[in-house]
Amino acid sequence: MKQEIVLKINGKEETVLIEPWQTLLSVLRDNLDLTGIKSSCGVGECGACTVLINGSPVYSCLMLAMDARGKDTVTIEGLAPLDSPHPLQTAFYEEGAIQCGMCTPGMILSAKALLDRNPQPSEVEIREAIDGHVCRCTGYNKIVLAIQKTARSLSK
Amino acid sequence: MSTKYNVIGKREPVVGRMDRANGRFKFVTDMKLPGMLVGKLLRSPLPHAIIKNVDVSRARRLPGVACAICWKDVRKKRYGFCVEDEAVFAWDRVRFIGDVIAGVAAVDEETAHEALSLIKVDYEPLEPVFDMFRALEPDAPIIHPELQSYGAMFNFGLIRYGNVPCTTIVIQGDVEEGFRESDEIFEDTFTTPLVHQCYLEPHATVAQMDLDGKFTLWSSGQGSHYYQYRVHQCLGIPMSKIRVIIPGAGGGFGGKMETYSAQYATALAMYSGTKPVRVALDPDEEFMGGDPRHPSRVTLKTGVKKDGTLIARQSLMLVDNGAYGGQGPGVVPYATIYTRGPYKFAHARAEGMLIYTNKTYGGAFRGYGCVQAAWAGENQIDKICDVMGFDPVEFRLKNGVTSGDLMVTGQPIQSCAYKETITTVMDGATKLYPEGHMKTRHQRPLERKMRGRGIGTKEYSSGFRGTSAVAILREDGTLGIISSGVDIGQGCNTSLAMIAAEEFGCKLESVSIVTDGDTDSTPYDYSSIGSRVTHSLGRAVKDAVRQVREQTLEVAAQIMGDVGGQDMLEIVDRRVQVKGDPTRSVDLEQVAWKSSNLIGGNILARGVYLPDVKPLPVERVKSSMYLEFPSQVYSSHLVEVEVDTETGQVRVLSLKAAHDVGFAINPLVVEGQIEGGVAQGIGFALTESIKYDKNNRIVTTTVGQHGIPRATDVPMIDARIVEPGEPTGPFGAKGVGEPALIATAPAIMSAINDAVGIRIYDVPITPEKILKAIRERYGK
Repeated sequence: MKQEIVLKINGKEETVLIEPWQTLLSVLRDNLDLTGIKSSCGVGECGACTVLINGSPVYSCLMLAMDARGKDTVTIEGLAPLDSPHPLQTAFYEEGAIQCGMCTPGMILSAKALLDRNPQPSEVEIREAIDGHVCRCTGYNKIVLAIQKTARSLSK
Repeated sequence: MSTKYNVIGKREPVVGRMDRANGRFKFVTDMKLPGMLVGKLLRSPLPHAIIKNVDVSRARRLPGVACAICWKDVRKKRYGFCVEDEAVFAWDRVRFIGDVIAGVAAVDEETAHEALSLIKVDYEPLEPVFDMFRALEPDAPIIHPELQSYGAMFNFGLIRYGNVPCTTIVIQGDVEEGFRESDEIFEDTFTTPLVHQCYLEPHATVAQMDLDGKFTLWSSGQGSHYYQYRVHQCLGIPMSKIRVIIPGAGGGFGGKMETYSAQYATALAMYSGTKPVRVALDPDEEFMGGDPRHPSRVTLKTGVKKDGTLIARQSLMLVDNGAYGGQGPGVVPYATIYTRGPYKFAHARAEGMLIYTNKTYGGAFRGYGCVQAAWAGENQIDKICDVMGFDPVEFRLKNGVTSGDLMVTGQPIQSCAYKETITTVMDGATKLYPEGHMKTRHQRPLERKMRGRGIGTKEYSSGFRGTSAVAILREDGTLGIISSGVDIGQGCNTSLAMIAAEEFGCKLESVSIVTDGDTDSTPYDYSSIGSRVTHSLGRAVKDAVRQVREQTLEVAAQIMGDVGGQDMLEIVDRRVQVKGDPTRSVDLEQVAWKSSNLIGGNILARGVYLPDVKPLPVERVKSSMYLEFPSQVYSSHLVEVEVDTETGQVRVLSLKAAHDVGFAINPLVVEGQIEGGVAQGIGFALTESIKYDKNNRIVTTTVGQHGIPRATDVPMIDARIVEPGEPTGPFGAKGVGEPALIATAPAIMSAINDAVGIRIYDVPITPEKILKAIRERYGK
């Protein structure tokens, strides 16, 4: 039976009517039209569904929407204003780290969480931080370079 | 990176990609149209059975179901890439677990699944065939009894019988004579499994019929015009009533050359009034009902002289094709001609055979059979070097092809930087190993971690299939390109825009190019496949722009009056000026406006590319697909690995990949292709496969289970671009999309052999296989 709950998404309080078994992924994409998050494997392996919950990356396909109550959810749409992109978004774009773009939103959110807790990560630490994200197009090379470039520019 | 050009040769981010970075781009799987229905497909649970009856009536009556359809609701027509053996909905029999029998369109997923469960199918099971050798036996069940009546798109001496839809034979010289001349003969068999493309966005199409009976399709695919034709072919809808738009696919890698969603979404839309219907494959459907890389069994017999000269190579490639032709009749001939490898053999004979079995059937996947061919061919070259004591780099520099040498088909090779790719990865060295290394490397005692270096190389084709594009000077003086290059992640339209800007003489930002392949308004292009877009569509774009530039100068000369003709003029940025004299100029915008009066409208032109290839003689090549290609591309991969001899795990420590691309229009994108391809190559070599259970049912349902490499599995890849030019390519460019991964697996095998002295003949090279081989070798 459907229930009305309040979620804090990208800094805004959203009231949604959901089934109790709905995943956060489903509520974000289907109820709130936030399709920047992608649904791919559906079982918590590929990372395309990643959002930040209180600043930490989480597979939204494995999280019940109910469990997001009282927490701050940030999706790729809420990372930065369109006319003022986050340095990670700019770096991904400039370094050629975006090919088809399906993994990109999730990757960028995990990268942000990494740089928030570790502003000068090594290559190994970067690779471990994005290990939960599958990319089939880029071979991860330019994604790692983009994150390194952002880390350098943010440290200035 | 070139400095002689203004636009091309520079590292340009793909135009528009910020929309992926901020999540605003809508993939087909993100689309939500008003009233959109969910389409789901009913698939056969049996591998081989006669269909006695299909009853969709109860599904139709379920509230929330717009339609439930089967073969009775669409025209009975077989279609296919080279062999026309597929059907939208099976009507006579099902031939693999996953064969589509029916479809429903409903208000939501739950209702659609419930509707599927209400469809009643009566089957009469038939004896299935799962093993290709069993399928070849004279008393084997015949999977396609009407094989001889099936149409074939190409017929170059096509041979088909029993469970064999096609065979390919290519003959160069006389291999028996070659073997007689040889001092050593090597005979080996190599195998590869079913491997999925693992794109993150599945096959998906939204189809909607309007009140005039015209269908609009938004599809995640690789060719808008190709899909348009396929849907027309399957369902009989006139081409003029089908419009296909591809906004940008979430990956393809060949797997979306064919469509497994467009025909279904359209068929369901036919019966849903004007409501849009979305069909998107679920992950498990992708693995059982998509079109993965064909498994292969390649037997090679190679003759070599004791001084290391390669003399003759005979190959037989057997492909367990699965239940329908799919892309097999293209993949096998293609692979067949590349088993010889990039070497100057005097004699070669290559045969390939597709065999039907009651399993999931294969499609196009980056490398199109050549990944399998190179796994065998290069692996055996490494073995020859190992056994006979030749340095693998020196051996290849001695036997490798150069420009002017002939392919196994007799076609001359145009630009060829094969040897340069080797010396590039070697940083100029002409030997891989130090003196004496090969004599002692296999005498080392077994240690916990052992390192090795190896090399793999390859040959592939570029630039097939003619095409056209239109260029137009828009009213504001900017350049418009109307072409149907489809973006599957490779950013082809930026490269094409760069070619246009260079040819015209303007900046990249002054060029706009169609990016959604809209069939209503773009000229036909074959598809974004075969590493052909930069080469083929690039040539057409360049030709169109050349004409537009000439017409622009002509009109400008008329406007400017006393300049002495258009040869005195040049285009600089947004103006036409007298060469070297910016004070005498006219804005392009003015030229565009005035052309309406002067020439009756916009300056526009159609550019064309027709590959200059002659058909191959049937005595030499019998095939189910054309095998003439205008040019070839080459690469070398140099790998260092570390083998953990207790766990069997292999770490790729470093990987250098040098690719002959003719000329890199956009080096940033070329590097991205190489790097992405190498990662797929590492996965193919070490971890990836679709797995079956003992009842021949596919049990792989996610990319993780498939074994796709993650960021910690792949080193920083060192991609090197080699640019010998190419007479048939735009500004000398050739393709790189597919070649990217072909040399990787054999290079890794070569490095593993260097490390621990074992050779594996089957991919993926799993820890189990390594440990078994180490035990056999070291007796532990």
